[in-house]
Amino acid sequence: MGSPRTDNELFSLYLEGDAEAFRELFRRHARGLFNFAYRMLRNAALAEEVAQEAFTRVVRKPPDLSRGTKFSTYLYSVGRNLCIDELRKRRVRRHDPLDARRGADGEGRTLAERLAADGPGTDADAMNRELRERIDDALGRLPAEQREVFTLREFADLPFAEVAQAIGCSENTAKSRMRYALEKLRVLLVDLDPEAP
Amino acid sequence: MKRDESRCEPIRDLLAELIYGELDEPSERDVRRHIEDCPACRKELADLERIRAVMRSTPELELPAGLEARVMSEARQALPAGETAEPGSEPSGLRALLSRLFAPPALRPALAAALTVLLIAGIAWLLSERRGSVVERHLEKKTAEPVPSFEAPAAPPEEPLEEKRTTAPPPYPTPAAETTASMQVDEPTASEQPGDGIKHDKSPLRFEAEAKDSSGLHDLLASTATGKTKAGGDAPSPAEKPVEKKLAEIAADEDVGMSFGSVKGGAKPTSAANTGGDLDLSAGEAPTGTLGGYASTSVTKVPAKEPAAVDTAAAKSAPKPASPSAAPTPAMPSPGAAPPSPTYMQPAADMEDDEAIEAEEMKPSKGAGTSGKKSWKDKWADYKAKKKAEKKAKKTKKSKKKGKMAESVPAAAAQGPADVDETQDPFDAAMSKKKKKDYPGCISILSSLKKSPSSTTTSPAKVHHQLASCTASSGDAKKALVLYENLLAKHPSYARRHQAMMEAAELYAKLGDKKGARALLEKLLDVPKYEKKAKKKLEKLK
Repeated sequence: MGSPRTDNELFSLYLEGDAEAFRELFRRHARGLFNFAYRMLRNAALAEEVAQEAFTRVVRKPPDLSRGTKFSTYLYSVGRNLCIDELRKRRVRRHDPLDARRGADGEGRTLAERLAADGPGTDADAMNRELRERIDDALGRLPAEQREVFTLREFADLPFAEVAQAIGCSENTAKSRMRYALEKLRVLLVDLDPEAP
Repeated sequence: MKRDESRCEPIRDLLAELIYGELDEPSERDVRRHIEDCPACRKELADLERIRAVMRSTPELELPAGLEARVMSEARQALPAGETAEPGSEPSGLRALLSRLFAPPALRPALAAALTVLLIAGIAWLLSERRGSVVERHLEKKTAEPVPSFEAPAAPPEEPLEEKRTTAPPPYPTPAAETTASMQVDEPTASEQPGDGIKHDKSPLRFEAEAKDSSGLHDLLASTATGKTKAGGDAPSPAEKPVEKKLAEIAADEDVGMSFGSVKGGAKPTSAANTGGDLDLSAGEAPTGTLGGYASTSVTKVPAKEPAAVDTAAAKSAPKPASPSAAPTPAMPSPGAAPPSPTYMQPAADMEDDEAIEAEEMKPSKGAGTSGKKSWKDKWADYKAKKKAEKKAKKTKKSKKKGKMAESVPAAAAQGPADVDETQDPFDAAMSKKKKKDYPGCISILSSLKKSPSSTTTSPAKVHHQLASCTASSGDAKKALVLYENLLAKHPSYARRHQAMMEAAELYAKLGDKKGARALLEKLLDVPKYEKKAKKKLEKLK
């Protein structure tokens, strides 16, 4: 049995008319992209919009992947730019205060309520929800540059080289941002026990 | 024991790569060796791994339902039509080959452009074919037209034609049948124009029909087409005159056979007439324009004029020939052409003139009497001219409407066109000037409006009031007061009379005429709206 097709191969197939190849690409990256956008924006509806728009842009204006650019890198860079646009719109690009995030989001819901509503379902485990809320809070405290690096590496599982490419910085800068992000998270999440459910 | 922090720093830089497994083997070995010896770094690594564990322990959000469907729909739409493959299949065979040839995105615009050009060319060809059939219809009609002024070749007798029909049934009406059709044009029947609409095989008849109006060369062409040599001529019989009259009447109805809409040869104008008009004309030029050139050598009256008429009309109305053969042939002038009769066709220059066009429009029946019946081309030219005149008249009417407004705007306003919108009511223009504190401009406009109240939709009283108000604002209190007094005297039922009274009272007070002010204010005491204000002012005056 042959090795699975690479993203770029699938995208080439799609450009030749095989729509199912694109479905495969979607299934590989949609969840990561959606979660990345969600961590960046902390709003599931906006994250969904970003994910859809990123895929749409990729198909409407297909990237030239002949120069070694990876499909995933391109997709995440589109998604990342969309997130930044969204953050700019909301003017919460940097250091948004925790209180503000916890406050009403226009619909008068708290962050916990939003998470419950945005999450996979109301049957989601309360502890998991609490844990996620803590993590989201901690991520929210990170500067956006560190947050995007951390999110792309941790949740989208992009190697540092691709993270750097996606956000348009050097690999060393990306690693450095990652280090600072981890240090900050270490402090913020010091009381969390990973063994707890 | 004091640790060397400088040794830890580069190691901590690598911890992130270590926990994500991106360190190369030698570096990882070095880092791990250091960590074994360094409790601080070991603690840091443990913390980082704990964070990762925490992160991994939180479930990721599930994809919202419907996102995949929406994205896939977009993805399919983005693919060129028909290029989507069946699920799980790959492009193969001819499609794969075609997609390899044409799928590169860079080629797609070019391909689309080429297809568009082909499509347009196809449509043009179809239209030209249709035009051809329409032209034939007109020419067929002409066979029935008596042309008393020249000797037309004799129409072949009915019998031989009938014979011809039996031997080789023509796909077109015979001249005899055509004559009948023309005579019965008011009551079109199905047999009148068999196969009307799109017929491409009428060329023999076309030659034959044209030959009737034309020269011996046409005869030759016609005889070649029909296989008969025609000799002699048919003088128009007296019985044909009523027919001609009838045709002249029908000529007034411009759409006889001129539009694609009148499929059955019906004389009723159709909505398609306008759209088909240009095309019909250009299509009609070819045969007549060309043959007319030949005709001019021997024909003295009608045919020689036709080319000129057609050229004129063609130059104006048919810039794009339907096909090379349909294009007017300026390279084939009619050297012996008789000068066109003044009543026959309006020269191109004159066509611009509305009056001339209108005059020409009045001529059709007259023209039919003087220079024979007007050809369909002339009718068409008239029709076009008529339409043009109507359009122009509409435009003029519109501009007159605008002009009426504009005229009323005084010179001051006209001098500043940047400020005054032509379509704006002059009163509004004045008000905008007032807003900008351009009181002289405002006063100027309002003064002229006061003189010619019909030039604005605003009531004269309001214009008067605003004029007074602007004058007061400009600092000329005395003049303003006069205007207010006039306003109150002239417009006793003015809705804002009380407001005007208050303003006038203020002006009186400003000018020191306490008596005048008091008189007005006392009147306002009876008006609930101004009662308080009037009281206050009266107290002030005291």
